[in-house]
This record gives sequence, C-alpha cells and structure tokens, in this order.
Amino acid sequence: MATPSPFKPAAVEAAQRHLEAFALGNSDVALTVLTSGDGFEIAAYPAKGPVTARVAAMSSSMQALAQALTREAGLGRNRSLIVETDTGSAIVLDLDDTLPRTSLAVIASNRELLGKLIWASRNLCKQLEKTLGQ
Amino acid sequence: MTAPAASQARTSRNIALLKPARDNEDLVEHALQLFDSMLWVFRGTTRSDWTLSPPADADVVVVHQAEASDRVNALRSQGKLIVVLSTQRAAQAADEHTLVYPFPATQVMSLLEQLDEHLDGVRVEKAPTASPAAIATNQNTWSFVDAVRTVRAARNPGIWLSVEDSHGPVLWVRGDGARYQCSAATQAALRLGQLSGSPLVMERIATPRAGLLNGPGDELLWHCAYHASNSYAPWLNESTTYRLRYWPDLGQLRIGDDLTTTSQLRVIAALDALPSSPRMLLKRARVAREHAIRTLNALSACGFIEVVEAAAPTAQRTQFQAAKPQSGFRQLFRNLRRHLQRRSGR
Amino acid sequence: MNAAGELKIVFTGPMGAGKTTAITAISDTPPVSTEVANNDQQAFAKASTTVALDFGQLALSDGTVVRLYGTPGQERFAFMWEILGRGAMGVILLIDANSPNALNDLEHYTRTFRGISPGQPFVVGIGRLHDAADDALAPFRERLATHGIVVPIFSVDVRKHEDTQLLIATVMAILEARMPEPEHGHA
Repeated sequence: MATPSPFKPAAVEAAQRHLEAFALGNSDVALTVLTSGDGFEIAAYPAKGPVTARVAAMSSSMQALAQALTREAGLGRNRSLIVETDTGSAIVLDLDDTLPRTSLAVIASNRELLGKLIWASRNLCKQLEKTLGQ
Repeated sequence: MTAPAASQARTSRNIALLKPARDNEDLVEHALQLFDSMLWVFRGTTRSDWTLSPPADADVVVVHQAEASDRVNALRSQGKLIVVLSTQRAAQAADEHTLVYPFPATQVMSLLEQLDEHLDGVRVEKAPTASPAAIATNQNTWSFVDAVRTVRAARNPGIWLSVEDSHGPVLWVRGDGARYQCSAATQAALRLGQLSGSPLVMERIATPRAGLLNGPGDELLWHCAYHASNSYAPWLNESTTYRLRYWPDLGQLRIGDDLTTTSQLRVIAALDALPSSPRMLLKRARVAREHAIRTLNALSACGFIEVVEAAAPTAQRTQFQAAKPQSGFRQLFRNLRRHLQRRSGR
Repeated sequence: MNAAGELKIVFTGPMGAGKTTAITAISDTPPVSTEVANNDQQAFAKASTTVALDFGQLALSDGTVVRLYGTPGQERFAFMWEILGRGAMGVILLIDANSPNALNDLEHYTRTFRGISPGQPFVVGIGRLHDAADDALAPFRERLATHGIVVPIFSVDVRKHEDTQLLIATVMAILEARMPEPEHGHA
C-alpha cells in the first residue's frame, strides 16, 4: 500500500534515523512505528516488517479509542496507552504539536523495564516532535 | 369489452375460448383469463381485430390440453384453427400453436399474427403493426395489473402508453413497463390505492408531457397489485409453493405507514427464510391475512417470487452467535419498533 | 442488558458510505466517534475518517440497550470488522452508488461479513442513487446473485431517520422469520 505521508521527505528520513538510534540503544525493543492519526506508517524500525502496517493501523485505532474514552470521562487529551502482557508490552504515545496528529507505537519484550521504556519512549517523542515540527 | 377504435380496412377475426367441461383445476381458469387479458391488451395493435365469439362463429378456438379429442377434432373438421393451452409447467410446447402457461405476451402476439396470416392465406411482415393503438383494460379488478404485466413482457421501450380514466390521462407507462410518469398527486393516489374509481384505459402516444415525476415500473405494478384486492391474484395458487427470487426495494416502495411496512417485511422475510405456499405463509408470517395476501399479490405481480417446481429441501440454517435479550427477541422487537416509531414522530 | 452479552447491530461499508451519519440519525445519545483527519485525500477526498468505531445506542423503555456500532471503512482497519461483526444481531452494509467501486465494495464487504458470521441477518442500503426510475438496484442484486447470495438491498438516504429505521426493521424481520414459534402471540 502506498503510504501518503503528511510530512516532508527530509523530516521523515530524520525521524527514521531517530527510530534506528532508539532501537540500537534499547536492545529489547522489537518494533517502533511512527503512525499518522489515520493509521498510516510514516517511519518504522525495522522498516517494512511483516506486521508493521497492521501495527500502525491497530495503534491508531487504539489511540482513537483511548482518546474517545478520556473525552467521555472528562480527562482531557490522552497522552499514552500502555498494554502489558506476560511476555512484553506495547506503548502508544501521542506526539504533541504535530499536524496532522501523529503517534508512536513501541513494542518491547518484558526484559525491558516498563518504567525505563516509557521514559526512553517519551524522550524519543520529544526528538520526533522537534524533527517533524521543523 | 368495448369495441376498438375505428381503424382503416382492418379485418375482423373471431376467437373462442373454450372452457373444458371437466375443469377441476384453478390453473386452467387462470390460463384462459391470461389469454383473455392479452387479447384485450393487444386490441388495435395486431394486424386484425380479434373479437371473442362462441365456438360456432370462431375462426380460432383456444382449448385446454385436457379437452376431449373428439370435440377438438370436430372443431378442426369445421375448418377452425386450434390453439392449445397447456398448464403442465414442465411441458415443452408440442407445436407452435401450443402455449405453456404462464405464456409471455410476445408469444401470444406472435401466434395471433401467424394465425392471421394463415387465415389470410398470404405472407405478411412479422413485425407488429404500428396502427393507432387503443389498449384498453376491462373493469375486472386485475385487468389493469394484467395490462401492465403484459406491457412489461412485451419489452418495447420505444413507445409510451397513456393511462386514462374517465377524466383524461392520469399517468404514462413506457412500452417496456420499466418506467412511468405522472403528477405528484397521481403518485400519492397510486401509493394509497386510490388511483381511479373509473376503468383505466391505455392508449399509445408519442411521449408524455413535460414536467412529470419519473418512477420505476416496479413501483407502479407493486402498488396497483397491492391495492387490487384482498383476495389472491388470479395467477396465485394457495397450495403452490413459492420462493423469494429477490427482495423488492422497500426503500422505494414503502409508503411510510409502519404497520404496512412491518407486515410486508415479515411476509418477505418469512418467504426468504423458507419457500412456502400462501396457506403456510399466512401461519408463518404472523401478520393479518389481508396484509399477507396483498403483499404476496404485489410480490408475484412484480416477479419477485417464483414457483418451486420440485419439493423444496429442508432449509439448512446456519447458526450464529448473538446475545439474547432477557425478555426474549419478540418482546425486544416490539419495544424496539415502538421506540423507533416514537423517535420518528409517528 | 443481558449478562450473556451485548445486543448490537453493526453498520459497515467503505469510507464515505454514511455509516457515521446513519448512527447519528438513529442513536438516542450523541454518538461516540473515532474520526481523525484523513491524510489519504488521493484515495478518498473526505476530510475525516473513522479509525476504530462509531458507537451509538437505542435505550428502550424496559431498560434494554441495543448498541449500534459503525466499523472503519478502510481496508487497513479490517481487524476491527471481525471484532465488531462477531456476535451482532445483524449487519447493515452501506454502499455509495456513486463510487466507481460500488459493485466491488458490495461483493467484498458482503463476502467478508458473511464469512465472519455466515448466518447473521445481512441488509444492504444503497445510497446516492441518481436515477429513481428503471431498476437501479439490478446491477447490485445481480452481482450478489452470481455468488448465490440473496439479501435485502434497498435504496436509502441514511440522513433520514426513517430510512435507517427501515434497515433495522429488516434485520428484526429476518430474525423473527427464523423463530420457530411465537412466544406471546402476535406482535
């Protein structure tokens, strides 16, 4: 499927490099996907993996549902969504100040401490916000 | 029947419809009625004028296949041409003068022209004549429905027919029956079964006048058949099994009356779930008898149902998992219908 | 609501067919929507698109709640179709007759949803039919008939409450027709 990207190619390339660096620094991260609000993959590491497109679509659905839930509950804008399993975790984080709205999905094994993973992922989001906002 | 419009140098032919002495089958009656209706509809459109007469005066005699052979032979020996109506659906026409019920209008028209040629002893062109047409309906309840069905069977989109009551034209039907045109008031009357208290007459015209509403032929036939009678249409048999060929477009055909729509939906859904005879359907659809009969009449007139020739196999239902309401589905549906009707302000 | 599960009717169909509109037209409560900006303007020139679900409900006088779900229209969200379609009382497929892919959409969604739950009542609403005359639904009927599928196909305008009501009433009629005996006589 051709991916319509709302961002400039240079910004997407820079985002891709950030994802690679993040993966190298966090060896238990299995997949990172930067996703548009409507479920398209903008950048991913590893790139073009077999499940990347599906993870992109699913994470945007879950993020939208989480947003609907926090709206109904009067909790304001949703920042992140955490899914924990016996073998690992998935985090979906909303990027601030990106137009159109973008989110980051990170999937890691449970060898990675969840707190450290959230902290590292939020730092990655800040870098991505800066890159995509330029 | 009334006399056809005066025409120039038209030959008059006499035709007799011979009812069998031992007639214990409704279908025979229906077949003869259908042939009679077609004769009526074709008035003025065939090379010669065909008029019903007693057998003794007839050029052509229409008999049922069960007619005693000595009687048929006696008619033949008097020089009369014989047309045989067969009501055995699976039967093939034995010859070109045999019509297997339900026979299409085009076949009857073609046969009449052949008989005419034979009586003339000359060859003429096969094409139907384009003489001024005055296609009339009789006052029988079903005659107008039959006329529209015949027009649909004839499939001639190149012409238009105007339908007149005693005050003048009220609607216009295309020659293939796939379209009609009329005013908004006439359309409202059609939907409510109040089209006309007068006999309706069809006449061939060039084109309808401008500024009329356009509607599909199914709509015309559906409402005419639905409102024609609270008894079964002549071609329906109470013990014959019918199945749904496809669903009518109720998005277009419904009249905004919830009771009627719900009844129609139940009858159609019941037929869709399982082929049934009208008798069985009355029990299964759980609607008032009149609603069930009228819906069946409309379904059959438009060709949405068909006869099941062989014994229908027992339906194999595929089960699916859905939650069941505590009060049962029927109570849920009653509440849901009431709720939706209240929301829509009815 | 019953402890055994939820009573739900699912609206599905391609992007722009009117699923969100239909649920909005019929729901008793303001629908929950997961619409986001649509970045794929080339594929479909619509400002927003549903990425998870639409949700509305019909709250009946006896306390029963019938839930109305709308699926995302785009293929990449097909994982939601199965999640939402399974266990529904019925599925209502909405198709935009103006779309150049209308017939393919009809076949694709019909086969997909009948695959998810083969016996489920399935009703099709065709929107934006320009020509009210002739038999405008014939191509849609014939397309499904080639696969031996006969389902109700109605021309509708889902902005109108009564049209969406007809689609739901048809789901109910199909379910009723499958019930062996009346529970409490005539409805």
